[in-house]
Amino acid sequence: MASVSKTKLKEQRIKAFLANYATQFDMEDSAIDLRTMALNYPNGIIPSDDIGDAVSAVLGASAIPRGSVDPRKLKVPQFDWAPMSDTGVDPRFQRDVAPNHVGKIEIDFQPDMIIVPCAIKDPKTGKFLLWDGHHTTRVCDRMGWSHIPVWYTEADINDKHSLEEAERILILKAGRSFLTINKKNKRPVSNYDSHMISVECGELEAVTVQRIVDANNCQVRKASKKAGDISHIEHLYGSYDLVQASSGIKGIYLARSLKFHRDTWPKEEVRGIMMLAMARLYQQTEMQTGVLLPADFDDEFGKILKNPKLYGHSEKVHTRLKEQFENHFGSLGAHPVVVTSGLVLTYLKHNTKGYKLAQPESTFPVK
Amino acid sequence: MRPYILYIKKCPGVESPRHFKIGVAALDKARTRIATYQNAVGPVWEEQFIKIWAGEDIDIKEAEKKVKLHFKEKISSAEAGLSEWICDVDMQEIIDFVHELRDDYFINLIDPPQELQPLTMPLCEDLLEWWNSLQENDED
Repeated sequence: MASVSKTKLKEQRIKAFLANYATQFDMEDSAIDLRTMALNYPNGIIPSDDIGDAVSAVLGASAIPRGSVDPRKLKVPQFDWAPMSDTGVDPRFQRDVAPNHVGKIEIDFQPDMIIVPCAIKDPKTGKFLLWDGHHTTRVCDRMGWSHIPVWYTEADINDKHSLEEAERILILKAGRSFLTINKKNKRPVSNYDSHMISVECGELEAVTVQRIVDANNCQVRKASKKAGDISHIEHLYGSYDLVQASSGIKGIYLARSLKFHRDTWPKEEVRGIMMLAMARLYQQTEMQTGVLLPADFDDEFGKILKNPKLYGHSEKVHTRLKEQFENHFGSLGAHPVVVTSGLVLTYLKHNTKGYKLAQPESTFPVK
Repeated sequence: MRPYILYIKKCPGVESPRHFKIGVAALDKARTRIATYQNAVGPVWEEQFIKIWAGEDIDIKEAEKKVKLHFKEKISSAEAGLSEWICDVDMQEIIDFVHELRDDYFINLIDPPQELQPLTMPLCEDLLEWWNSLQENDED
């Protein structure tokens, strides 16, 4: 019987690994925080071996010593520039082709920005049968390419394997590979990673959003834990996208909303739905009254929401507003509508300064 | 809304403790929760929550989350049964942080009367009566 559990062993490995670093970073099964880990390196580049060691600290060491296998000698996969006319599809291990998806990736096409398609080499016809990258191949075809790069696997035809057997083995391999890559092991890019990569690569909109975040002493994080952390990227962009009718400018209401949140709850992380609901409140009010609410409104409304007899912390505000909506209507509506309406109704009920707000999109009793 | 308590508990029988368990329980189930701990130590020690705060479920659960996060470095293991133990601290540090949650984070945590602390099983009915009277006064 094990005297130390697997959980404890993993903790010990991670602790020992992190002891090598001055700047500590999160190491979870689902994510090792490479952005923070990189701060430990003078040029910000993390050597591949160190990332490998970090993964091994979480998973346990691999049974195979590092660098002990030279894959070039295995000859799987092989690489070739295949003539376009020598490629094909066996629909047994491919999905339908989606012209709209081809059209979508065609817009972003750049010759040096493609994934190398994968194939098996059909022992009967000699054609490269694609099991991954078919849509990329279609785009390359539309771009006039005569050849396509491919990683491919070839059957070893010998006395042991007849041609039919070899074909069956390859098709099974291709089908499994297709499903593994496209379904089982597909890891979509998170909204957080998408934002951070866009910022660091200088995408204009992401940079603008980040500037507003920075100006309000907030940080975009994968998971919000500390004061000013924002992890709801969808609502961050949803707030940013609200356009000021008079100027046609985006981002004004995001800036106001973040300022409100930080001034009202300076030690709390930024709750995504509160950020969006307040941005909507500012926008709808300005659209309907022609007036952008002043800082004095923020001050009064913040005090109302923080009143312990009503709500208190930001998380409680939106949770209780949703509950009150559900109690009244019997089911919950779209969160932004529910929370924005609840905020408007709460102000109208408790204010003393009489600022005019937008009409609530929905009406229900609030505390 | 269901009332809850946030509690701090020490290891049974330890004088001048330095390790504390933080936890939450529904206020009307506090007795059952203490009984669970009592069952583990038997008759040689009377189990108790050495410090408690009461409040709405959302306030108490948020406070617990924040305390664990704040003292993350002091929670030495994620192992079952150990992940809620804040180790090698002065209890006053935890109490000070709970006060900070009330004052600066606007989490509504209510101090029960002194005579209900430490909370033992016989005091749990008094705790419930105190909470109910508090609610009646609020409605008045």
